[in-house]
Amino acid sequence: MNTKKRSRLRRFTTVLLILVPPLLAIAGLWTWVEYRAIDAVLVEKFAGRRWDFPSKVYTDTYTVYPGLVLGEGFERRLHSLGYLRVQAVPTRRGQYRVSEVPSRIDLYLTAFEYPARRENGRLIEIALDANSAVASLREMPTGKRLSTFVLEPTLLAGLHGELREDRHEMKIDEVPLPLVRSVLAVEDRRFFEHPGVDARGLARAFFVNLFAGRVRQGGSTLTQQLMKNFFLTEERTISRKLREAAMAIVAERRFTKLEILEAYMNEIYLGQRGSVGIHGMWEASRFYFGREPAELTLGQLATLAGMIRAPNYYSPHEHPERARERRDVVLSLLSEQGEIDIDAYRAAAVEPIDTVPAVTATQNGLHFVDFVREELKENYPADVLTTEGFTILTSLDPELQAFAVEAVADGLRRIEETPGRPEAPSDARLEAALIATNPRTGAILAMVGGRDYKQSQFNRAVQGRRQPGSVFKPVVMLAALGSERVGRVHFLPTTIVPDAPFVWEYEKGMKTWRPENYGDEYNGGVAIRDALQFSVNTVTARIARDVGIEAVRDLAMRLGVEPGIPALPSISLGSWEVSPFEMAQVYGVFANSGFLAKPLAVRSVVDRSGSAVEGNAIKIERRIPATDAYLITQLLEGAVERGTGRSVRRYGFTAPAAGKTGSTNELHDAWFVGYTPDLLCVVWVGYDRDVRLGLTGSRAALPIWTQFMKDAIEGRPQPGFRPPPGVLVENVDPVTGLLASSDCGPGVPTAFLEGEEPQHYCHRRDLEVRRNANGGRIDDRGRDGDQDLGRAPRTGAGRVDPGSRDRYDESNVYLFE
Amino acid sequence: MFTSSNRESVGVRPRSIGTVALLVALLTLTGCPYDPLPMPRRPRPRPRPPVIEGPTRPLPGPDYQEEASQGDRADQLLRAEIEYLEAAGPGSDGQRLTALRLTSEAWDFAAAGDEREALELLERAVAIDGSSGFAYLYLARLHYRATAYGAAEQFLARARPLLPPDRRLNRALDRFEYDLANRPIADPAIQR
Repeated sequence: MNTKKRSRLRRFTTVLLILVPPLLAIAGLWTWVEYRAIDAVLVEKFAGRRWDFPSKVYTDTYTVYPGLVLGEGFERRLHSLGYLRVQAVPTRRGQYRVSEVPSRIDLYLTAFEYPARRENGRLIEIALDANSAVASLREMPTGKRLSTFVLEPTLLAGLHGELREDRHEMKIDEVPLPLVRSVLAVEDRRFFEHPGVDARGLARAFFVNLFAGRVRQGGSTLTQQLMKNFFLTEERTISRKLREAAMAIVAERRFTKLEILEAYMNEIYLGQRGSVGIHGMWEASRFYFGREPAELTLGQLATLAGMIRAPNYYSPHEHPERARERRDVVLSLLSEQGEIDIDAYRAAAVEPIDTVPAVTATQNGLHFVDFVREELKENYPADVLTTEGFTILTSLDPELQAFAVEAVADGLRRIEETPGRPEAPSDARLEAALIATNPRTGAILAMVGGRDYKQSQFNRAVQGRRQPGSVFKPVVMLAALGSERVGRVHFLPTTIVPDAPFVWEYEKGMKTWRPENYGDEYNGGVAIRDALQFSVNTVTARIARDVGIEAVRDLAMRLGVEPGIPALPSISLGSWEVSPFEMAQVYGVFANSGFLAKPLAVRSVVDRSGSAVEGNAIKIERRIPATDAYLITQLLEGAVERGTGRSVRRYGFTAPAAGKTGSTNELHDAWFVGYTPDLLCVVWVGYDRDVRLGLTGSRAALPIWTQFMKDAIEGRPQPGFRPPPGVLVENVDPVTGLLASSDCGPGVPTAFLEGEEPQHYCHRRDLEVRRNANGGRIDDRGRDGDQDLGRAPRTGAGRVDPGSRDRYDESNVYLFE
Repeated sequence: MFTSSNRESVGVRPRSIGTVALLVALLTLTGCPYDPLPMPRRPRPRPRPPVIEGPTRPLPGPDYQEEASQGDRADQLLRAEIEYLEAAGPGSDGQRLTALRLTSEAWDFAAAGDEREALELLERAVAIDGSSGFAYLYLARLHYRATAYGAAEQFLARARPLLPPDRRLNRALDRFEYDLANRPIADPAIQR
């Protein structure tokens, strides 16, 4: 080597010695900085909140007890909850068997986290009698008798944020070992050996793909997949793969294999429920097989593991054959790797792919879900609801909700097919609202806020405020008849009031109002009972004037109408706008013996650990005496039996019920409000815009109410309304208002406050006197638009309230002006 | 699994020179920092402290389930009615019987201090049979025990007309009503 060359080498070495250490130092420093940055991100992700957990809104639970009739609806309910019918005695949660002889249902309950306790799942034997009513309940195999058991609630909706993902977190010790083995066998068999990146796996994938000429195999480890899902995009670039690998290595150095495996088991995407992604093995296990992973068979676990590669392609719901083939691949791998023996392999390979139906959140109660969300907003910020994974148990009854949706859809279709209805503009859409409650508890059982949630999210049951028309009349009558004497004058149900046009002067005579009957028809005099049952406008207005419109207004607010009602005469005929929700409260007081049960939508909120963070108990408050509530209920029963609501009977609803039709000016809105002791339902039909419906409450809203109520009470015993102490129900002659007798013909049951009932029986001469004094029958045709429904009885009379004698003659007939 | 102690214990400890070299190579090849790095999440607002409405706390003071010498009349009547309906056998009023049994079970839970479960059962009893005076009466008692006197008063008023006419029971109810009317200042957190 000559001197020149040696000198060049020395110079090069010198330069190298000068440059390399700093370069190495810079590279090392940069690597360290990067490492720390990745590490910080990983710690943040792993140690902090790894995922957003949407809260889930559920319906109410379903209590099964001896005496309850379990019709077809019960099996429908089981199906909607994902229960699987089997032929033998159920051995797993989520299965049931129906036996004909002896008639019984064996039901293996699924696990559910309730606010006060956890249901772990147990086998219940439901013995049925000849009428399909529950004869007895026993917990098996102990044979312990039960007074009730509760079927878990139905999923109504998930409250998602931007990410529409359903996931339930599972700890690694809850993951069954066969699932771990299956996942590793098919996705990353050297998971416990590599440092995050598997060089051997990469090389194998490289050659497989090279020979295949396309991408057939991926070389990503579980850790790399997890890093990609957590932090990176789906783009297929070298740069992304390198980042993924670097992060995987850092993750493996930071966290244990089990921690990484746990995160993977919860993160992995495994299918789609509508627009919501199914993530994690627990959620997938529930979604496809209706059970938790710990309860799945080897074949089912292998199916889940096989789906990771292409969840929708191998979906056992959509493509069971593909899912089966893929499962067999996983089982083969397990067998090859010695993870399972040949017997286990054979047993698993012959298992059918028995998935449960895809349980999607019902689309029936979305207006109700919005209502719940609004209610929860007061206590929880929106992003808490979308990330904390609360279980929100509500009051909704899924079966009744389905009936309500169906009744509204059928009712609107019928109305649209009704000939002779006024033409509506092409862009006007006929709408309806329905709300059903249990008046005793305040529980909202069904809510339909409109015809189609997708087209309009406006909740007409709660937000829609319309004139109630005649459904407001019971408030006026209550002010007049009630024992509290809220008004200036006290009336009796048999008091006869003139049915004639009059002018109501108010604001010191500065203004006038002239109430009219529908069709401008008047009949002289009408008993208050008949005025309510046949919805006579002038009589109601006259009573409101005499008891005082302020008293009527105050009473309405006490019953549940929102404050702000002006004391104007026209409110007596329902000119002030209210929502169906408010009317449900008003009538709920009548149904619940004078107590207002606070509306109850959210029963409880449970966090992910199973602790209750909110619980709402039933709240009741007396608003009027039980006697007054019963007076109105009894009158409204008459409206259903004889009055404007009697089509209820014509449509086949036979249970004891009280109700009232309502129609507004020019027939823009149609209402029907009615109740049994346990179930109250308000129906409104009309247009959102100022468009004429052209049908009365009895023709538009009543059929919807009847269809819903018939379905809702089927199979349930229906006790009648019981008069409270302080009320007497007498059979009263409709003409004279005296006690019915053989002289005067059959009477009408009429409720009186004790001491106000008639004392004398009707004689033929009383009848003649009355006929001569006040002419004939009251023709109900044309009143409140409920024409062609029948005739009201002739005018009647009753005893006089001494305090208001100056306005009445001796036989309690209102003095004509 | 992710406790602070084991997080601290899992430090950066090179497992092998090869892995470190691979990491250096990967980071170098990547050629750029992770830009932008995922930002740490803003701490989310926590939900408000739990608000559990309804009876949750035991209460010192008069307990109407115990009528010193004679035993509780309501309990006696409740059990008698359950026995009567059970003896009537199938075809008897299933709703009523279930509501009564639930009421009885609820009171066992209340006696054992599990008032949440007691409340749950009583509300279920009311939902099944809204005309069960016993369910309302025991709701009144439960709320009384939790110092929710306003609610107790309302439930008692709801119960009275639905309960069987019985002189001893009426006397006990009168005393209950009297005590509610002369109650101490109620806990504002529970009062409506």
